[in-house]
Amino acid sequence: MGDLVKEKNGNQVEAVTQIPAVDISENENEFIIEAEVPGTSKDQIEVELQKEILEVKAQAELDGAAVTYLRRFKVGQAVKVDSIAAHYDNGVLRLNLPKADSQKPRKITVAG
Amino acid sequence: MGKGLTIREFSPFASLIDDFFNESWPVYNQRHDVKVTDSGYEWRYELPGVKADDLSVEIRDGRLHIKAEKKFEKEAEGRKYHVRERQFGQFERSFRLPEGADWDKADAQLKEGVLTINVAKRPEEKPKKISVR
Repeated sequence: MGDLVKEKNGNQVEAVTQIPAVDISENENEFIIEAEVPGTSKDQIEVELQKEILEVKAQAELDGAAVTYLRRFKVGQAVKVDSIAAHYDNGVLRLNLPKADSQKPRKITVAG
Repeated sequence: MGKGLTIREFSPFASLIDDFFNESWPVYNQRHDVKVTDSGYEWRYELPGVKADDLSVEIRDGRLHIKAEKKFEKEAEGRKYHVRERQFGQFERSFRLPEGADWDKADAQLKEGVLTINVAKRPEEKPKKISVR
């Protein structure tokens, strides 16, 4: 917070950083992060993975005020980092993080 | 699925908003803005996750009624949740339109989780000058 951004009419407005509300869940095959980032668009969302930190950043403009949504998640070995997918719809960003094979439940057939 | 959280909104435009609030509804948090320009009024509500089919905006008896439902996705059932911050449930607002609002010229749009409602202002009646002879 605290950055000043020039508005179209030359006025200075404060750029606000917001922590979006998220749900984090998992099913058998993947982890799912859903973040509420209303008022932004696909091309203003950045999802970046560096080392084990997944950073979600989005820019929105609400009535001339610049809003930056920012949230970071720690992603461990449990995720296939090359297969993370992101979708933005109705103001909600959904990240699908497929589980590494070692994390999936395995069925062992009983020989007999 | 809503947690039934009730919140009160602060509004510097009390006369424009005139929200009524029913504690028994599960209400989830959302931000909103009101803007008054020379040509009209604009209300913006953040409703991330609400689909257009689950939203209705009506003008009745000089009041604007907004009703929305944020549904918990069916496919999400059966998932194991680790963090749960998003709120689901019904959202309902109703307020009196300001005097001078022309509700025949109203427009609502839901885009990227933001509902924008525009209502035009009626042109002000000009005072009639009577010449003195």
